[in-house]
Amino acid sequence: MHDTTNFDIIDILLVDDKQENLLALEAVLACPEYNLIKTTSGDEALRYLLDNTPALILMDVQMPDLNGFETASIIKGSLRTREVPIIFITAINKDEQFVHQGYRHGAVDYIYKPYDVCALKTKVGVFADIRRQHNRISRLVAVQWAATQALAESADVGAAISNVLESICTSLKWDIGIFWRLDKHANLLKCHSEWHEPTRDAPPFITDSFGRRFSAGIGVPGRTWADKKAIWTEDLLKESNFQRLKPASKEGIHTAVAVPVFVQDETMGVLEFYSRNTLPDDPDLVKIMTAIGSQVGQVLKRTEAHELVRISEARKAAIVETALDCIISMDHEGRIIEFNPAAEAVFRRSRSEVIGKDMAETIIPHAYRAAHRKGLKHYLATAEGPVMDQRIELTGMRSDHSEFPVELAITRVTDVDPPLFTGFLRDITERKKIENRSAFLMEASTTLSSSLNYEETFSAIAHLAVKSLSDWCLIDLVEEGGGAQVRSVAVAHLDPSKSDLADKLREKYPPDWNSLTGAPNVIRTGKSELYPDISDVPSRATAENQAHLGWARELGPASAMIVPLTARTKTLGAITFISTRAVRCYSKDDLIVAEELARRAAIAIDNAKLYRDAQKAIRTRDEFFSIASHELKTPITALKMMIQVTQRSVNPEDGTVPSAAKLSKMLNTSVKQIERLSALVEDMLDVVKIQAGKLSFNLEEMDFSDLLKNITEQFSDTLATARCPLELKLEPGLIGTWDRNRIEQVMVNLISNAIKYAPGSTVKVEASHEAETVRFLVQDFGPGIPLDQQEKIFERFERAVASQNINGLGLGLFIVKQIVEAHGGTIRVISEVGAGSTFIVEMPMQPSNIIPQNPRGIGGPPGSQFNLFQPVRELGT
Amino acid sequence: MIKKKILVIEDDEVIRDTMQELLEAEGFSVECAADGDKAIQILRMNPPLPSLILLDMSMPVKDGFRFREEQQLDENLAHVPVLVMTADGNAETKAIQVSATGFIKKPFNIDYIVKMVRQHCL
Repeated sequence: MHDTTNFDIIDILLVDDKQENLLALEAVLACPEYNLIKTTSGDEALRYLLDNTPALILMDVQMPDLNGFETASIIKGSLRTREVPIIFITAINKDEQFVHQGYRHGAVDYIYKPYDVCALKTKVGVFADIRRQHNRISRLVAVQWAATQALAESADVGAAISNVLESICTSLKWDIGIFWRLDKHANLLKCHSEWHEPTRDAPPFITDSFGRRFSAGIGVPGRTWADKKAIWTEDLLKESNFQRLKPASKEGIHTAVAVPVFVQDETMGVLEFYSRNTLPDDPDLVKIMTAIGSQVGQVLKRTEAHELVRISEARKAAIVETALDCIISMDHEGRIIEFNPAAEAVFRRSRSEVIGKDMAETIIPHAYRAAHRKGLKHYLATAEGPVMDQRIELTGMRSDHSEFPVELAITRVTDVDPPLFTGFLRDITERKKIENRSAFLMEASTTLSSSLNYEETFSAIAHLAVKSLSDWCLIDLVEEGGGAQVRSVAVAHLDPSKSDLADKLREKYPPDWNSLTGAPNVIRTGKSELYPDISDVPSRATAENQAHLGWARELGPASAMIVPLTARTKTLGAITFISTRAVRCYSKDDLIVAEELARRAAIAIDNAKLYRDAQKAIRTRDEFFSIASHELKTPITALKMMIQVTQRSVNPEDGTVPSAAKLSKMLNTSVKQIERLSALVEDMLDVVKIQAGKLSFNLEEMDFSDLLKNITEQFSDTLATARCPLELKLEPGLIGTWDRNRIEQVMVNLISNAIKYAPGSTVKVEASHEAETVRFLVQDFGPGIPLDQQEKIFERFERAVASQNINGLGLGLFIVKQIVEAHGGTIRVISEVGAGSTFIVEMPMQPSNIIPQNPRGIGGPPGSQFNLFQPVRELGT
Repeated sequence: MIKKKILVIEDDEVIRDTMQELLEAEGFSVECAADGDKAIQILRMNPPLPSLILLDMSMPVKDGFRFREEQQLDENLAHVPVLVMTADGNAETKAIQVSATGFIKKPFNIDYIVKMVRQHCL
């Protein structure tokens, strides 16, 4: 025990009715360690004791009113003062009984007057010491209690440590408390918190401390940390190596105690206390403080652990709560135990509604539940889970039982038994949609590019569409050859039983070109139409009658979109996509896909068309070459042979020459062959000119009747050879303005055709006029032309040409038609198979102007190099 | 010596006549037909069978192809060799198509015709 602790002033109550006695006591006991309270009566003493607990009472026994024993009895009766020792000072007698009475009343000792000063001092000193000791112990207990209290009651670790510092400082009367916390990453001690007398500004010593870092073994805190034990420094100012000496001396600090804050072997920091008093080492205090340090360490550790848990919990919660992915946990019995907000949104179920429910029943579509349960059972039995810890794609089910694709990763929660499973899910409807769309468009492209067959292409598009974009798909095309006609080219329905109905509906009620909505309008405007929800509105709008409406209703459109088929800025047609299921209402996104499909389809159709046209042109060209080859080579062959044969019969050496008759025949025939060749070449050149729009006309006033008469006369030999009687009916004086040569060409062509195709039968030729129009007619009684070929013979060469009429290049009627039309006229044929044909030409007598005929608009791709080779068949079989 | 008989089937009168004149001058007996039909008739009605047929492919009524079909179907006629005469660029192809003995491209050189006829005559 240390008896020189000078911070404890011991209260000593002096009770004596005589002032001189009090003064004498005071004189004897006067000492700075004692606080002497002088009272002159029992009453006064008791009054003082109401508020104070002195270390010792020195009391006179003989007092008026309340004597010493009586006063002592009252003091001992009070709970607070009963432990206060009382020394009676008396001069009366030393009778045993009297003494006993005194002890009975709580006296601890007697001092008899006249007293020995020394003995008195010693006795008082003993009691003062006892009190001091008691005070210290209670303070230490109070400190520990306060520290514990502070640690237990503080809201957080920062406040706890501050409170500990404060309670230690205030209860033990230290001036400054500092907590140094170990920064584990930096491996340094840093000032974490401090306490100083609140009435003052932060002392420079504290400011200085906050600026410092201590590593292990350096400075008071560093040494405490390194040694893991308390350091008591009685007087810092005497320590030469104390780093904070300057601020410490400024502050008047002398004593410092530092204790480690630790848990097991782990140091978490250092508590440091400073006093302006110079205090000797106090092992008890050090023990208490060490205990507090350990306590603080535990709290720190626990808080740290809690903090980690809390942070991780918070993080987890934050992650779970704000995760974009659905996080769903399930226990080993398949019950949902966690369901985050994302999952609520995706599955359209509230957390409270699903927690504890069987997951399979809640979010797994019926069809997949058995497999899910089997998988769980298998995993629990074998710990084998083929789906664990990998990304898989499954189907989820919303509260309305609608299904949607999900991407899922299932993990088992570690170290939990029985196992828990957490699934991270993502609704991949959109992604699937995009994937499906691109896959669809890719498939579309592949399908479309796999065939250049026109019809196949349409059918492929329609079937592709019903596979993934619609339930019902219709494709309408603009009729070729112009005209405001829309033709249905493909109809497909997802449900084969309805496919026929759809077909029938389309067949019976083809689209009306004048319709203000739907395919015709889309084709007209080139702009898409989107009907997200139609129910039966448009069917009513477009339905032409009840039957139509009924059928349309049975097909049950719910949503529709119509997109144009546009290629090379030309709208070729439209595709109508119809969804009959309310769950699939078309959105703008769908429209984009549809438009993209249509764009690709249009290109495919256009390609197919170009291909078809090109194929046709190639075929035509080949046919033309074959025919031209034959037609041109025949006269050449004849000519060459004749000349060679003649050559043989000429021998300049012996003067042999063929007979004049033979020679004449040869020459005549040769001229004919050359004329034949010329005519062919002329025809070809004419076609070239027509194709180029450069067929020239020299208009002059001429007599149609005269010209026709001349021509028929020129034909007399041919007619005779073909045994064709000519019936000529001419209205004389048909004067008009035409190109004589071209009109001659028309006449020659038609008459020679008649002779060629109907040898042996009459050829009728007539010319007449009606108002300002001349009418020219050539009739034969040959095999006639089938109805389906009557148009074609003027326009397009198609090699339906049978062997018997392959004569000439087949350009004749085409040229004739161009000439007639250039003159503002028309040509037509009236024919019946087996009865013959009548070609009728009607031309204005005074054509207002020559219309150059450019067949580019008639068919075939513009600018096609094969246009030349589109001869018109002269006559059908 | 009996003259070898040649059947010329050709729709063009001038060529036909010239061919006849040429081959007769070369010592053949020549029969002519303007189309395949008439040729079949001649083959069946006017024995003996010719030693060689010169066949134009492009003809009215019955062309070279159909003539060959009919000829090959008639076992009496099938063996008669045929030289195809054609202006077609693919004379050889045509000849192969109708299983002809050979072909002569139009316009012909008469010496070549004579040579070919001699070569292919039975």
